[in-house]
Amino acid sequence: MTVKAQPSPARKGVRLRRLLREIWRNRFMYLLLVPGLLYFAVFCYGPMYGIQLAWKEFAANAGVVGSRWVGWANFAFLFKEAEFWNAIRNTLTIAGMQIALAFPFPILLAILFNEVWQPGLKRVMQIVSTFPHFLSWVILSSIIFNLFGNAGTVNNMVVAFGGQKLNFLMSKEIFRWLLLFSLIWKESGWNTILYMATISSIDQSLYEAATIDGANRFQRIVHITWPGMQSIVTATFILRVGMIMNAGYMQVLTLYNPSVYEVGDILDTYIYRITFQKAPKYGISTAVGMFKGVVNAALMLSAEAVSRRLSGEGLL
Amino acid sequence: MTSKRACRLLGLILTLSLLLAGCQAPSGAPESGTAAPTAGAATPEPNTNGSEASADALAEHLTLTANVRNAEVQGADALWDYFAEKFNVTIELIPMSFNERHEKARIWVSSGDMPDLLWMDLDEKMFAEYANWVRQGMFKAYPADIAEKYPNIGTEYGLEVNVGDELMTIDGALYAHPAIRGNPEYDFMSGMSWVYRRDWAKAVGLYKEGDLYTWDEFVALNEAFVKQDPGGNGPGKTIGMGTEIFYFPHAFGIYQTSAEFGYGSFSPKDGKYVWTTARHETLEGLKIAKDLYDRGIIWPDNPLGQAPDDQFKAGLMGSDFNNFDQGRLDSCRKALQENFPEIDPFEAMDYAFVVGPDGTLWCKQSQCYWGAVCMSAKLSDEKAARWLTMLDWMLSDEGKYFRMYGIPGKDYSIENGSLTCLWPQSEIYADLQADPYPQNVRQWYMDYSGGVSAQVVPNVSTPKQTIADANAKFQYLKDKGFMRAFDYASSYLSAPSKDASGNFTTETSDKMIELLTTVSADQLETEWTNWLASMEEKVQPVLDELNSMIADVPTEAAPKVFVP
Repeated sequence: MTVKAQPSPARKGVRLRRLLREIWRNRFMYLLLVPGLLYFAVFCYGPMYGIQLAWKEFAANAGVVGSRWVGWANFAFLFKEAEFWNAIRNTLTIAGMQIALAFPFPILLAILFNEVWQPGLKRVMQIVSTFPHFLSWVILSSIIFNLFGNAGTVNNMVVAFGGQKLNFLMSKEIFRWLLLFSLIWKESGWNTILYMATISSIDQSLYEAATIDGANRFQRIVHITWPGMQSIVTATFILRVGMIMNAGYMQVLTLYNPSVYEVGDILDTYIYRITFQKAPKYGISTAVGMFKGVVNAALMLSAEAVSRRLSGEGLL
Repeated sequence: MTSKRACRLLGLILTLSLLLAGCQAPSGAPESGTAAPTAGAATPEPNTNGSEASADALAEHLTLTANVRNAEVQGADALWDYFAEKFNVTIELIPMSFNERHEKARIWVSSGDMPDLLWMDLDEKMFAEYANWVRQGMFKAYPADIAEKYPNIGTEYGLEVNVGDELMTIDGALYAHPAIRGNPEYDFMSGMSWVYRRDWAKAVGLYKEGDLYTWDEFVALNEAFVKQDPGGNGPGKTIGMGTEIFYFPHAFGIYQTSAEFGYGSFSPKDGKYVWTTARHETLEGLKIAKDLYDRGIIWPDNPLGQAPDDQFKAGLMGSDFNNFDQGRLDSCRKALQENFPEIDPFEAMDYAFVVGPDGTLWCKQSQCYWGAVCMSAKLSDEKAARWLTMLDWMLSDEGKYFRMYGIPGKDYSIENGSLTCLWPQSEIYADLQADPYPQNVRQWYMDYSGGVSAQVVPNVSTPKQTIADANAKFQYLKDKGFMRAFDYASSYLSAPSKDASGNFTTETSDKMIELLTTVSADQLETEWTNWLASMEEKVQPVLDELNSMIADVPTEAAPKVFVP
């Protein structure tokens, strides 16, 4: 049996002093961390004290801390609600579609952009594809209504070609695809930035050597570009899986309607509706949020473990 | 600075951030366990005798916060300056849009960020929350002797038709001032009614004298609008019928078979309350709406929540079912005149009286008030007294003239008991005067104190024909129609199951929209019946509660068959 030597308290003190000295030496660099730390402290960790509401019945006069404890009653109520399970099913389905189809799209786009030889054309394509990211979902939903509504451009074109109008926005069969394609349209360009940056950091001499060795474009992509991107793709994949219960709150909220609640109501919109559109049930909506957070964390850790086992790379 | 101090400083910043992030009790909330103010316990001394406040009582300048719709046009005009100066007060307005009115009220009260004066759309759907907040001590009670000390408020509450103050009374104390509607002379009849393009009806050869239609005639008329396109909008672009989303799809069949709101409220039948949604009239109405929707007579995009009035004003829609009082009628006519100068809007559009499939000319009653004002529990007695002084004045004759016309001597004058409006001549209408103040500038006054009956303060800026048309509609419906009375007893009962579940209005409306737009006509009844069965577990406890707690279930009046 081997016994690991424990560092002595004196040695610990030396290491701490060394660390602090290092921080002080680079204090201005560390100062740059402060806004980020403050952001997480104020907006992510600070509000966590409200999680206790998941086990409480909120009373306005008592506030979060003073409200009455109700044990697991909020969760028990929630797990009996058919709407909750429907929201989970929709969240997983929509997020699954996003991971399967929307996630690879910017990777592919980045590789294609990288293959464009003319720098001017490449820049124009990047700007055009990135622009929709800067429009909010509220504006984009108006554009989508005008495009796909009954009197919208698409239906007018369908009628002009002798077809029948389609109820795009109120069709249960179409709605999820509408979400998916509008997401790809809005975010793919923006998401290519990370991958483009990664590709640009790949050593150019590898491409030159491969070209001399007779590798064609496709072979260069498969054997140089893709391996060079793999670690960043893995990291973003793990992060995306860790957010699987986030299926696009603002997008769904601005686009859905009662006709498609059955296929479009996700956990976040469900929380919104039970919190603000009816008599508020803060305890129950916090319980949903809590449930969501736990599932997300579990899935992220699972994805990390799977990734390490399969590729030897992980995020944590 | 040593590394230890830097570390401490960083730690301090993080700790403060956490504290600031929210580890504090809601600032506006009374301490847990604090008893709610009792009736009349903190009666502020009135600062006025009737509508005239004494100078001493108004000597101290006070600042009040209050939420309001259309805040962008409030508080920046001569009216506001006059009002603020008169009462030596600054009112800081907190903006709130119409669509977020419930959401904002909930957030403000729950987080302790409630303004001094909170206006709420405190209808029967919000009443349970209001009662709950009252019992948690979030609001300050209005004085028990309010009617005696503030005579104009007393007069308003004393009106036989006004039961708002009784409804707002919880455990013996009043916690909200209900802003009474402006049409008591028509028993608070709802303005929900059809307006239609009479010129289009003539163009398709289906016009009926007196704008009176049977249901089948009206459906045929709207179908003709869609197919024949009398407005020349182009193939597939003319809309038949539309309504506001909050009344979809009830406007297209359910109203005409029951005149119920149908938002899942409860109605008396055979001596006990039943769920209106589950009544056969609702299903019959839903089938009618489904048929109209499938035939393309109802605006296909209506379920997406866009405004029907815009389509009507743009000349794209034939019939619009909405709350058409004289203001909305005037707005539509003005828009038509602007958009289509070649047509006479008074001739081209008007009310349509549509008799339901059962032979009844339906109309329905609203609550007697629109919105209510609560005072924050934190509000000082001085500020509460100032608010009541302002309110009392706004409800006086002088206050009503101020709210409708403006500043005495500048906007109106009274000589020998005769009132003269001094507004400039209208540039559009020869016999009218033009309101010199921007639109919606009176929102705060109206929301906070109530409507003003046109019979008390005549409207001088709306065309006489529009006023006459609107009044004639109300009178005709009052004489010939059948008005379903508003049932206060079941709507305003606060009881555990009902308070927890609400009245299922949203669920009902959402399900109707879903079925109307996504299932076939053959499946409709089965799907509807299945959904009703799935809701029974939630609805039955509320029904049991209603039937056990309301001793005298009102007798349901039989609809009066229309006689021309």
